[in-house]
Amino acid sequence: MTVRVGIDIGGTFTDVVMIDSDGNIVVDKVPSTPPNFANGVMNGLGKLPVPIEALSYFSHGTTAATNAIIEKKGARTGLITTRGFRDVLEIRRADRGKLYDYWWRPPQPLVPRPFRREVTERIAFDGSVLDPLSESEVLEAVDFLRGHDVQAVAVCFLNSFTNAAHEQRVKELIVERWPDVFVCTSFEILPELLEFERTSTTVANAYVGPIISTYLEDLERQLQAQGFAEDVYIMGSSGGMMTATQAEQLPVSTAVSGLAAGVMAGAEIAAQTGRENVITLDVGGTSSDIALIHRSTPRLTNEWMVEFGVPIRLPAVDIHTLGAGGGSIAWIDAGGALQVGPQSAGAVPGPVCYGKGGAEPTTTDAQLLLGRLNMELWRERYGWDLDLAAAEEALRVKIGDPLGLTAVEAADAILRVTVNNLVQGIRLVSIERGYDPRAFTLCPFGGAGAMYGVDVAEALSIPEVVVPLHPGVTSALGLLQVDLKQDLMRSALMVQGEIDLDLLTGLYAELEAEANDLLEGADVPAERRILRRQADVRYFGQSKYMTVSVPDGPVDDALVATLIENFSSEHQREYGYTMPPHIAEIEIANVRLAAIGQLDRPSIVSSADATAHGSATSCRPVYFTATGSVETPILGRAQIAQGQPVLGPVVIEQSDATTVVSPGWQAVADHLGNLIVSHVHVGSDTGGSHGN
Amino acid sequence: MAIDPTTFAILRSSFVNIANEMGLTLGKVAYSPVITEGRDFAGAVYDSNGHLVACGEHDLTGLLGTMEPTIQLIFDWLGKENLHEGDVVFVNCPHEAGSHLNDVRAVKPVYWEGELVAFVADVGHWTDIGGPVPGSINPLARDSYGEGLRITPIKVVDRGVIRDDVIRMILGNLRIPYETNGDIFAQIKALESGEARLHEVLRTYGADTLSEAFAQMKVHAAGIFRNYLAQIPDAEVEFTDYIDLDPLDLEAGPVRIHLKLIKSGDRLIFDFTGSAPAPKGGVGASRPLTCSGVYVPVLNLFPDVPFNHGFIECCEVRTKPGTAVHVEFPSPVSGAASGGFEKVIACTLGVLGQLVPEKQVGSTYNLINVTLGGIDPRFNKPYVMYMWNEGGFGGGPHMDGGDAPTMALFATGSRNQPVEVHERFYPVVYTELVIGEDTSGDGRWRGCPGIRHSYRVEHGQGEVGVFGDRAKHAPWGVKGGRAAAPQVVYVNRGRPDERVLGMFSSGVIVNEGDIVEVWSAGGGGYGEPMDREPERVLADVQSGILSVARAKEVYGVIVRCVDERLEQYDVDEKETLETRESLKQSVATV
Repeated sequence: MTVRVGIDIGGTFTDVVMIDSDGNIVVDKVPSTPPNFANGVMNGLGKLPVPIEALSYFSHGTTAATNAIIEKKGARTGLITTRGFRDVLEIRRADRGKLYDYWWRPPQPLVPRPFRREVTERIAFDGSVLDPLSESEVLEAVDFLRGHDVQAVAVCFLNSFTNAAHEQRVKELIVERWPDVFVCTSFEILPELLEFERTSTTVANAYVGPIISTYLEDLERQLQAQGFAEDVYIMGSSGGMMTATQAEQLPVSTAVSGLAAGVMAGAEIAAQTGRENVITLDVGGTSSDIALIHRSTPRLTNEWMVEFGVPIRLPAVDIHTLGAGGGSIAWIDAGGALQVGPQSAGAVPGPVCYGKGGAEPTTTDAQLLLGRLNMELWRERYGWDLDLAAAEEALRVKIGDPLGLTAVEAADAILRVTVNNLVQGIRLVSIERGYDPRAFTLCPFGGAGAMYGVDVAEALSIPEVVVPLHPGVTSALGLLQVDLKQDLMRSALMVQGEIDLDLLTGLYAELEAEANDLLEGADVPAERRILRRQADVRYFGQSKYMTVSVPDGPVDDALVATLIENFSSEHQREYGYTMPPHIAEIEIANVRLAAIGQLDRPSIVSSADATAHGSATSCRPVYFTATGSVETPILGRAQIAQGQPVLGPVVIEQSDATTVVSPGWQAVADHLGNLIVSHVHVGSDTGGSHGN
Repeated sequence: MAIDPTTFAILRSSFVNIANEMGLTLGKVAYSPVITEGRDFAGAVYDSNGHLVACGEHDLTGLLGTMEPTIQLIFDWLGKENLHEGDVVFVNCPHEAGSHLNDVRAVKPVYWEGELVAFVADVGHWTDIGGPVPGSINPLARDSYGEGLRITPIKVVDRGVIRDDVIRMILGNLRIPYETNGDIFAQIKALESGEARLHEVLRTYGADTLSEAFAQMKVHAAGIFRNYLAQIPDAEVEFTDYIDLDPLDLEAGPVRIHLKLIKSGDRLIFDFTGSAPAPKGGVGASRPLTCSGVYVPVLNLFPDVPFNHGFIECCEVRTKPGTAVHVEFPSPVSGAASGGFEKVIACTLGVLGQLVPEKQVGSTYNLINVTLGGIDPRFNKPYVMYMWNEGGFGGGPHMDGGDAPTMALFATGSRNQPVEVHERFYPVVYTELVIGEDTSGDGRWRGCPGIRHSYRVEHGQGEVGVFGDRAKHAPWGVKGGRAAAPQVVYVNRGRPDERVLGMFSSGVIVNEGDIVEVWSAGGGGYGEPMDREPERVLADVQSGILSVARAKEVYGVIVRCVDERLEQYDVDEKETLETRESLKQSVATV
């Protein structure tokens, strides 16, 4: 018997999912324990039906790195950089975070100006040395930073991606003399053109390095004390697992850890159910996260920022975050228009119906008034009552009266505006990037996702919604469904017509050797290794590039031709045109290699009972925009059978989520326990025969 | 009949998103880095009368005032009745509807069931629009003909058919046709996406609801802005600022920009009629650009007001044709952004600060355009390196102007250009990129410091051009706050062959080994420097943006170095008290 556990550590809750080799699944939620998140993990593990020493696989997702940066609670960090350029980090790209706000100020740089030390050295754009490195100045800088009790040092020189000798020498000097400091060079982290983005990423890595090390060491110590002897895995931003050792070396690549897990769960559901194209919609209390999976592969981006002005230019699952969630506040602006969010009542004071001091009506209050939330279930689960009367009063006074609507109409208006906000977010990740949402399945999860999923799908003409088995802990489940992966890169900067095949061969060989070392270090046997080549390609002179796949095999003219072809078709899909070759040359900006180590994946046994019957045990009035309030059957999730669709309107309840199926839609369970909600093909807009 | 509030809430965000999508599509699809990196673009939705309904939230804000006149010019030139479904009209025409020739607009009428129901438009900055100098920013142009190609309203797409002859004629006049070809395509494509989105809305809601929602958009914006105005007493205030000089008439002295603001009930009247006649050189602003220069600071100081016709109606801008804020064809305008436009913004900040004391701020720095062009001997190819620079914002009540220089108030979304990219494409080596010491305007709340970009010419001979301002009239402070250090460009500063280029230079020859330094200003200060807490003065010294000498001289704060190795400082409190006392005495006796 093997037992695998995935744990997603959020700011408020730590979600736990356990799957054994028989496919049995146990889910739980325990409070998170900031700042020592490892304690919450141990609490969660302690509640499992098996002892920790019996676990065979442990992986987790954490927002520790992101939180450290946003809350400015990282290590005391120094930067050693080229003489004349210590302000690159602070000047950024000089854009302002708000278009119209004289008072907007950029975030404070992670390294204050006095700790940014300049040394004489200069590499030219082509890698030649203009000024040699002054080692005595390096030693002075080190002496200064050490005198200030700095815990981490980032090293970033201009043009170092073409020649890393100076950076490497500085690292040697530091390691020799100051072994206990965390040190990283930009060449190791991000060997790519663009000095600010490279410096920002390297500095962020140094800034969170000691924090992540301490956290992981603490966690490993506690796990080992309880008899757990396996590797500890941690989710990386690009949707693959890292070993704890890898994460300690490249800590900043865990920045999108928790969010990536949810998207990977969506990708896994897509793969398991034969749906290649999925849009994931994770609706939480304060925000919603949207991602797109095309041909079973999540879109990645390297334009991700922790906050405005702090880019981490490493591949990360491309997630669009909106300020729309269960706690989003509805309000009337000074011009008399209804708005929802981005302000949120959060968990405290929370929605009005929580009765904990919240006075502003939220989307949850609207859902309650419209009959979508089960008050009895709530009482059973949390031990206290939702205050329907207070929610109704707030909706009527704050929204209804000013707009001339009843409380129920106000609640409906709030939900329609919220759905519209989610729809706009999905348009951004799909239509605006050249994908037609009608060719996708919507996968809503998170605490509130399944309440909105069908309405969102309807508005976008998405024909089908798949609600995962456990929407409330989907991210934790995703942690058990991914492979080991790390992304490696080198700068290439070769223009079409001047592509040096030997050099290109060498670059890929270098990356392949590095990848094999990494996988070797993670004990991945050769037959379970996948090395996936990619390249960043653009038209010469453009600043943005697209990452395209590159075939295996010898690096020859045919390979380059395929690469260019891949670029052209991606460019055509995303931007709608390509440039003729006589007008614009193509440039290979970087070469990349994803080093993948395949891990075992558990199979899940569906809890959906084939003999379940879809007859409702209860009914209550639920309001839908199209029909108004109608007596609606309420079903438990386990009552939805495989192969026996239940027609909407219906509300399907389970302990961690509520799925609202509107009139005109139907729900059925699949063999894995997912709820498949689809449009009933009798509507007038399908062009089919009416009513047959 | 009024539209129901839920439908309005949904359509309101849809219209803004349509404008956003057009701008972002253009920003993404376009070829030229000025659009993709400089983010010099905008998108807009109008009703069938050409009244602005919504514009993008990521756009270059300096283009705001040019949006409505663009449609008006198309009506005047082509006739509304001659527009058809599937048309796309291109136009630049800075005097009537734009800023400078490089900003080219594309406009598409949107039809539903045969009726004209809306317009969508986008704007992109073309890197080169022809004329005698690469990049088309020409300080020596005597007239518009000497600046580049003027595109009067012309159908580039006629009833869905792309007119290759027209595109070829346009491209035939430009230096980098391949880049501009990509930009033209992107502009058309962005409009198609805007039209498709409006059609979706029309399919769901119909033309009547659309037009009701359009009307309500204006009422809504005006409502939010009038809510602000209701809290401000009626008043009449004035402010004057100056463009340093007229580059084609050095004898004429500074060019005066004068603004009288009349706040009366729920209206603001911005009266520029007291401004100087249009200068001979291209530093004056067209009327649409002057309007932008009013709208940008107003929207900055009164956040969350949607920009559309409803807002525009609350802000009347009065200008006299033929003045420096209302330059008429064919007078040149290619230096308008750093000249008249920035002064209009400064004057607007100045009057608003008097009207609403809690919004009073020191002036910002001023844009400097610096070009280096020549033949790169390594490849025997011509190049043009164009640099726009960052600088400081002013201090205000309870807040410094910031620590890190950013882009100009009217180009807040723009990004600077990376050193490594410039070194790769041009024969230069940068020697520094530094936040300037003692460059901010001192005050109780100081301005943000300015910046220094310096580079060495590495190969061949080049020509430097500078088009900026505020070498003489530095960014001003308020309420006793000091002006920031003025702006300047040097060649070989501190060497025997040092040259000071000032802010208006053209054709300055530089050779291998010469170093060009561009010093931008910080922002002006707010309040008496002597009232600034010594701890803040210490922090500025510690971070290297204020010298020990200036801390003493201007702030009366005595800062000592207590640990040279660790560069630690502290304040001598006793001596500071004495110094401040004696400084106050000497001020009192003067």
